[in-house]
Amino acid sequence: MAEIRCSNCGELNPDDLEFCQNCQARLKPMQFPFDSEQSDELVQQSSPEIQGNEQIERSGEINQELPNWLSEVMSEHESPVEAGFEMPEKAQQEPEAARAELLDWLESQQPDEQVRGSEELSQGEAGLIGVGPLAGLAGVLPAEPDIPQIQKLPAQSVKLQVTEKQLAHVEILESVVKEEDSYHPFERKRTPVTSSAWRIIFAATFFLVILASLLLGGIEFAFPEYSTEVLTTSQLIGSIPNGVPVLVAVDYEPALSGEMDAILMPVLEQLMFKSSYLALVSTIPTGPLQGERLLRAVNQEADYQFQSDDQYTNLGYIPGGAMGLLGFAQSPYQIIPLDLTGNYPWRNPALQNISSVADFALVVVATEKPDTAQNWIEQVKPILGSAPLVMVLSAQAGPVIRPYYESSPKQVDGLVIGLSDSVTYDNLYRRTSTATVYWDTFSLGILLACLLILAGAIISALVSMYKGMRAASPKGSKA
Amino acid sequence: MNPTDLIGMIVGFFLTLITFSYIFKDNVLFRLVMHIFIGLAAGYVAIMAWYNVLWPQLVVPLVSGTLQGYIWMVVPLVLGILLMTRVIPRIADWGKPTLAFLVGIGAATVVGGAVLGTILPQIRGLINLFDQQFLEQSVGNYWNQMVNSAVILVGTITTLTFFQFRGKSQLGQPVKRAAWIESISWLGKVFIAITLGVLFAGVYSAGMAAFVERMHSLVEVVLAFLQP
Repeated sequence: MAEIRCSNCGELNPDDLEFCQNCQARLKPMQFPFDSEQSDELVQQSSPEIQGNEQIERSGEINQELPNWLSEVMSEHESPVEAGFEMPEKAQQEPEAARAELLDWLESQQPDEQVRGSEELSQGEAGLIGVGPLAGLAGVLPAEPDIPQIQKLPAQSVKLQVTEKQLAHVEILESVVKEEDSYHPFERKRTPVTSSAWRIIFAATFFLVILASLLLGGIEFAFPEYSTEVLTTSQLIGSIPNGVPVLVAVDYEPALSGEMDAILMPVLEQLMFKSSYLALVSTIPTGPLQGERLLRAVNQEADYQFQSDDQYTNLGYIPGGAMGLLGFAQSPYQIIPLDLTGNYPWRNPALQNISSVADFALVVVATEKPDTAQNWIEQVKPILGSAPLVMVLSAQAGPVIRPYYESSPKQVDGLVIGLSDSVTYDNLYRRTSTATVYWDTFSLGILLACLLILAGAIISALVSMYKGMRAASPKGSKA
Repeated sequence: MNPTDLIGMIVGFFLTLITFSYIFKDNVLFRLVMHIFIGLAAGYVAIMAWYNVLWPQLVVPLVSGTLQGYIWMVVPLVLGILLMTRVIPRIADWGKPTLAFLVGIGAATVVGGAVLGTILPQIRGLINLFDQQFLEQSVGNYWNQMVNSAVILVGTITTLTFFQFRGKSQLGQPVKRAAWIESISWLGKVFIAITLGVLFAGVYSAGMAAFVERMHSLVEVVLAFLQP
């Protein structure tokens, strides 16, 4: 049995197979749905080396299958070439006349290659069918791929055209990406012994000084002068009628409750003194508990007996950040329907007329975060109307919120910032609250810190001067 | 002093001492206290979320509310459940509409508040600082207030100029701003440095107040046990 070798993989296959058993490549050229003789005939027709007599004989055979009208046309001429495509021949004979039909300006626009191509087409008659039913027609698609005409495409440059600037940017990007990919082993920095020692020395100094001040007393620091914001705040609270509802936002984290409790206490004392009905609320989850603890502390310290429901209610936590705050300002009873104890607080005589936050006589916000204070100013103040807004702030939030107080018109009506304002508040009413107890120790700590910073700056300056002098001296430069 | 307060005081005393031990070195006890604090805070937040938010604002209206209220409550319930699907990667996309709703409303609220509650009022406040009536009504001297207003104006403009980073760029060289912008922004840098100094002083002051309060509580515990 005859075998045929696969041109793709070299495997020998039986002759009757059309595809390779190994690589499934085609073993024989593709056959069209007519017999092999016709196929050969058409292959020969497409070849330019075909013999004229053979063409006529074969065309005679094909004529038997053609319709009558086409056979008659063909029979009038001796050869299919003569059958009616004289124009190309004329054009071949008189190329100058054919070209003359083009306008001058159009010819000048025509690329040389195109002109040359058209000349080749007219002269070579390569696309002209010599025999068969399509004899004499030009530009007919071949029945099978014209393999000999397939040429390798001319090589095109794939080099990217970039400017120097773009190249520089690419290099920067590459270096950044490489830096990201590269592995940097984590180097555990060893803290210098001197650094640890200095830290312990500073801490010990603070501990000793503060402890000595608390246990032994000692230096007494003068109380700060009355500030305008504290005076304004106390006047505002003093001006509200007795027994009216006041909203108190306890919006500080437990970490800074040491400072914030001390600042808020004098303000709460004055509100309790006026028998205001306090509605505690908070935008942080730990706030309600802080509020309860603070009221208990004020009750103990100032000997008040503020009881839940009768004199205050803890509304609890407002969820949703700024959105929740805005909702609470618009309709408090919808955002917080139940208080911390699970009761409905809005039936209480003091709160039954509250439909928005503007119905409170005063709003006091105690916070250590500037962002929280800004949220209250931005979301609640526009709804408050004529009801005043008082801010009780930690020393760290004071500088950020002060512009709201000092602007004209005021966005914050009253301000108490830090322990110093709290002490001033105490002094206004001749009271001694926690802030006043802390004052001397606190002032000593601040003084100590100032002295240490000053000493550090002087030592650092001296060391740098010494190093500079040493570097400038001949001995130092040699070293 | 009741027993609960006493126990709280003693526990607070030891926890404070352990926290102060960080001054020497990071240690196991310090980390234990941190874990206790974080765990307690998380647990408390979860309880607060249930009793103060979910129970009164979702469960109670669904169980005992009116039909209208019931219908209104179904919307947040469905959205909330969809949001919880974010924890399951396979169906996490279901929570996207709720998340988009929250982010959109949140952004609109915050941006609206910032523009109407801070930017515009502060610009108006800055302009009003030079209002003749305001200057005459100011507590201090007229000219003192005028100088104060001028300093605020100069500080505002120079600080804003400092954050203007447009400039000419040349290959291989840093972007350079115009000389006049550079000089104004230098003044802005001075104002920023002063502001940061003030903020640092505020943070330190707050920290010192908290430190004094803790030390005071330690001393109180010791004295409570020492005194008969």
